[in-house]
Amino acid sequence: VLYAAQARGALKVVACAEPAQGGIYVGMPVAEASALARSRGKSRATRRKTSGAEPDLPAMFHRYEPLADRRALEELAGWCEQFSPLVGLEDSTAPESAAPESLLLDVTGLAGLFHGEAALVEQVVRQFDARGLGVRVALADSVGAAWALAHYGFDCEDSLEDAEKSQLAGSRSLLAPAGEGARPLASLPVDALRLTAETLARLAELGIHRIDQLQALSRCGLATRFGPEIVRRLDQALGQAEEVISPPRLAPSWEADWSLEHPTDRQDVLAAAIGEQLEKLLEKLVSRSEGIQKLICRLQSEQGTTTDLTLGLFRPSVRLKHVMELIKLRLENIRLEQPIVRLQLSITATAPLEYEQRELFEEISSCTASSQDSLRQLAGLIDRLTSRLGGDSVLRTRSWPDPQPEYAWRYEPWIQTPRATSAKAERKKSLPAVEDKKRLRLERPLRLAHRPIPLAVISVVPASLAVDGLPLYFRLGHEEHRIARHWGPERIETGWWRGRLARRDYYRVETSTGERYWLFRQLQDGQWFLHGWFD
Amino acid sequence: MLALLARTSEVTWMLPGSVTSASGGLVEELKARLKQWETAGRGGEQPRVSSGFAALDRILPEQGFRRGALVEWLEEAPGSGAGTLALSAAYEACRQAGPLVVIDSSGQFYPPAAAWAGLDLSRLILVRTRQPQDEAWAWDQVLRAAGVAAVLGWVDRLGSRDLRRLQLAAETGGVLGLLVRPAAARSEPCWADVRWLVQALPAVSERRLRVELLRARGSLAGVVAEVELDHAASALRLAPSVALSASLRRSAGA
Repeated sequence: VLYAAQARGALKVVACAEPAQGGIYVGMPVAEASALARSRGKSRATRRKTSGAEPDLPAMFHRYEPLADRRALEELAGWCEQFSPLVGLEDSTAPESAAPESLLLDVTGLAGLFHGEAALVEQVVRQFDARGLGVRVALADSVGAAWALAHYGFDCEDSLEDAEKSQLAGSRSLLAPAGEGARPLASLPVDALRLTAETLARLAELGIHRIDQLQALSRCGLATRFGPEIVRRLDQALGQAEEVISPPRLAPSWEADWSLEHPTDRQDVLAAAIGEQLEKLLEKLVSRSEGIQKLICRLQSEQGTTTDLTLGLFRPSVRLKHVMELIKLRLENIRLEQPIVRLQLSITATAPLEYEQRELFEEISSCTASSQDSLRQLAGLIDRLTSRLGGDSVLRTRSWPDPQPEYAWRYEPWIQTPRATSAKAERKKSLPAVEDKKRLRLERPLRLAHRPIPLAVISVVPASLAVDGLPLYFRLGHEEHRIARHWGPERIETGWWRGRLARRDYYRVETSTGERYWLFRQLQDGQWFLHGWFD
Repeated sequence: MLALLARTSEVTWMLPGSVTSASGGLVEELKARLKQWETAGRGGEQPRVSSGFAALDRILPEQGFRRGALVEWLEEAPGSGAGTLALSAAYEACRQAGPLVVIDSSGQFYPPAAAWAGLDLSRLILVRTRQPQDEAWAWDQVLRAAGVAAVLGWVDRLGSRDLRRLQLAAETGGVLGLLVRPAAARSEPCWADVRWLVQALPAVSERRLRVELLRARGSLAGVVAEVELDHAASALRLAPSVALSASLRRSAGA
């Protein structure tokens, strides 16, 4: 039993699942209805504890929430896309009605896919039944006719003997014969035309109860007397006026919010709870053939402090196992100080599954004959590494037009937000390729010190006089190295725009024992540095 | 047959849950059979990865490295060239399949030298680790990932137990693991398939390295080879791709 606050704050019943039972009818005051229900012993001991203004009502009484209702219906509309690509809510064609209660499906040309209209209707009914929902389905030539038949066709037996009717587990379906236009509607009450209550009242005053009575009247007369609405509705029902179903534009919200009954800091319990929520989200994603690209998991403790786990995926995925593996890796790395009472999941970025995969992997797969499977493993690897080590630890390298060796290479995370990726691709294109080649011809060490290491040197001439030429020895740690051979110098003067002018003469040197180092002399003060190892 | 296989694996990937697990086994089986046929066509044995140097391949019992093996290069001192040898093997491994992963615990890896060795930097995944436990974990993960051709890194913080785990991981994933380690590790038990000791030699003309085979399965230890690192030769490796992009540029400009 649903109730809602009506005018002057009176609570009235607005809907009741089985109106015949207990004598409860729509519009009955709630106090009366609940008393009725109690007297029938229906409520038994199950009383809901309510606070404040909420009256103390038996458990089967629920407040009617139009918004939640609407949301549920929209969700159902999304689910119905398995039957038809075009699914709309009732009010998509008539925005004025506030509370939609029907779903409209355009099945033009689709019956063949389901082996006939009857089979299509039957399947719809079965699928709804599997979800535990009873429906009234009507299939007709126009939106208006289908609406009329779904709402009133079942109560009106006489004129519809040729329509196929069937009943299955609380649902009823009706199939109007094709191409008959107005005939199936003729004996229906005028209420079936989706008219306003005001118009209906005036029609009733005039003794017009059935559609065929209305059809007998002249259009012009109707329009002047009742306004254009009645003609429009009539035309829509007869299929003479176009009516377009527009699917609800759902801003996809990939969020889940879950409160834990028993606060916990156990990771396995948390992981299980997250997994359960995630599975539901993924189910929705799969139907859109999109995959998760970025996921935020927020854990809230009893004290209200929150911990965010942010997860970026190299390749969009809808595989629960894979995503859970990444979440578990993150969970292992965090320390929960307090038990968690609530968790929120939100998928902040999604991407089409196949498309993204091709684009991202072009670079890796182009030269190899790797199978799909090994590419998948590779994407999984990058996801796992990034998940545990962080995005700035799993990198790709790119040369950068800067002559100073420590700035000549850039490192970028493999997993980027889509926007960043495209911006980067732009930059990549603009880099002159010739630059790369020239620079690759220069011999560079395999390992570069984070910061040049100052060296103590021993030279035959005092350092101040040694304008050029290498010292004889240099000291590194406790070891002294004699320079046996050298190549260079390669002069690099740059960095003035950074405010730190770098003027260096680089030498490749080989010590008497054969090791090779990359040294440079700072030209400003003659100081020697070790910058790398030819490992 | 091939087309069918590719399609099957794609489908299993698209579908969640039970479907994946049910047909996954079949796909694996088919793949294994396909691999058998492929290798049979090449003459039975699984192809070995060359070390990149004929002198080294000659003293290896199988004339190269097995995929799924660990290879250790012990270096007497930094700058002795062990990294270059490892990089050369990585080039050979990646030429046949997949990207190279570099696990860099010191943050000193400098990419242009890898490009010199002929490696395609767009297919290089650089992983930086800070904690030793992260390093061991990253090695383990990468070695298990079948899509990777080889993994290279400077390892001086991992213990013998870690390395034992890595050896098992490499066998599972079939990834070639190339570890550059300090010569002090010589006294530790060896879990690698092949262990080299690399010493730099004073050069006569080109850079020379003395490479001693300390251990290899099915071979006598203590065999020594000498390798010359020819800078010009590695430049030759670079040449084809440079030539290609140059011609592309020409045609684009024309």
